[in-house]
Amino acid sequence: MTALKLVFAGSLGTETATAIRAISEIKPLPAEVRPLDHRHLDNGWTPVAMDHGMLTLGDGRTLHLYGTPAGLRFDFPGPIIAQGALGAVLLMDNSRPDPLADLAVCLQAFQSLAVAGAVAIGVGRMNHHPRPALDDYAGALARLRIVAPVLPLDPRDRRDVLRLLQVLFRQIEAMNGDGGTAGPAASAQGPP
Amino acid sequence: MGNDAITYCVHAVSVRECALLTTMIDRVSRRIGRPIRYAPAAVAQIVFFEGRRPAGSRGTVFVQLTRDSGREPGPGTLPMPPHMTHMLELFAGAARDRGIALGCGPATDTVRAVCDLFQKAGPPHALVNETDDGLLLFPGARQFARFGRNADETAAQFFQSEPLQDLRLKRMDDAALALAGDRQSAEPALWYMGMAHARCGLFPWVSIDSLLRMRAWPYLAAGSPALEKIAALLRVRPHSASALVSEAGMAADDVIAFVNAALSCGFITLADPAYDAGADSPPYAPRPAKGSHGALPVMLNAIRKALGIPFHDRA
Repeated sequence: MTALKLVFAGSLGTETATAIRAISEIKPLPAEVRPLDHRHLDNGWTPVAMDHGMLTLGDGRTLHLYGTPAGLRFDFPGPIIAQGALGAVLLMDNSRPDPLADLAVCLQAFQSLAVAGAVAIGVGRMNHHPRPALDDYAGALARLRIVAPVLPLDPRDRRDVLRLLQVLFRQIEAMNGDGGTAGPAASAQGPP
Repeated sequence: MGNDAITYCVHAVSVRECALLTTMIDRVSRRIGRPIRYAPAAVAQIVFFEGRRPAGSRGTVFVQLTRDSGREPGPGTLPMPPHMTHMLELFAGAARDRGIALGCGPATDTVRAVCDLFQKAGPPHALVNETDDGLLLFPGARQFARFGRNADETAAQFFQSEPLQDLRLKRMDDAALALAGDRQSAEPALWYMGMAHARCGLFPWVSIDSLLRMRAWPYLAAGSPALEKIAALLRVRPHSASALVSEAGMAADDVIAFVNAALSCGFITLADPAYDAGADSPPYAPRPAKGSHGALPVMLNAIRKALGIPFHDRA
């Protein structure tokens, strides 16, 4: 049975594992560890692998949920992980020093999905860090010549995650709107 | 009596309240730019009454006056003293029911001027009433601030796109700008102005067949399944409003509201080089070729079902 995958990506500390946990039927495997020397890290943890969650669909297929940081030494897996993915949820953390720069890095890593309209962006911690605002994100995306939905998101809140996924699915469907057509997002081949 | 007049009658109402209603109806008439005339109950379009309902003609809207100030105006009731918004809704609804065009001209002019100002990132202006209260607009920063003692009323007019004939745009100097209150993002205000202006139809500078392209995903559409669907279609490739109605199967009112709002904010632009010269066109992905992946909708629905995402509002 074919396996499907969705990618959750974000800069370090954006709680991709938390978002995956909100919808996964299995407990996601932890992908971050606390190194011996963690003084230079934002939160003391650093990723060493991808987060992974799963969801069994009614028809027996499995949806794999992969979480990965974009940037630093994790630049290289982006295009590989994106290959065959239905779409990507990019998680931004507004408490970080330059979230818009983080966004640019993420989009670079998932450019093929972004151009295909198969990414949706969730911005976390907006309640305590309202800047940049959603219109700043929209402007930044326009400057990057990318059109993608940007919504506030608390990755701990399943409803928020589902709302963003619904918007993402609408984008993917619209790309394939004439029925029986497929874009990059539709060429789901299974997990890497 | 002209066909463009809205008619009303006041039945068995005290003299004092009749005077209050008449005064308010006069203001409503000026707001919606259409004459409102008194007529006998048997032929009036709207009949205000107390106690027993009088006879009326077919299609007459009967409005019972109530004294419960805490009560919301339900169908056919109006708490006294009435709120201006409720009166406006009442008469604007009657006008729409009879195909009477509302006086949108002055409001549309103001909306267009504001849209142009923001589109061109022009210098700061004030949108003020006759007492110079209103909003300071900072198009370059895409922000606004309240200005003056009665700024809230002007802001309400702006946000709700009530006829704005009492407001005017004027250039502001630095001294006045220093008096501005806290700045806020103008986009929600522009969005709701555009949405509300849908009662006057599509912006007249946009044809129903004009091709529209998306510049930035309209985050303010989030949460409304209908608007999200329209956004998703426009994300794929330029559409006209008429195509959105036929392709999305959406109510024309929703499409008009979306287009007005998204145009106001600059989320979409006319796909016309002469109009939006200099704006970068987003790199639309090539439309996918017919392939062997017709199972995509089935796949997404299976995911929706597993996640518990409702199906009824899917694209």
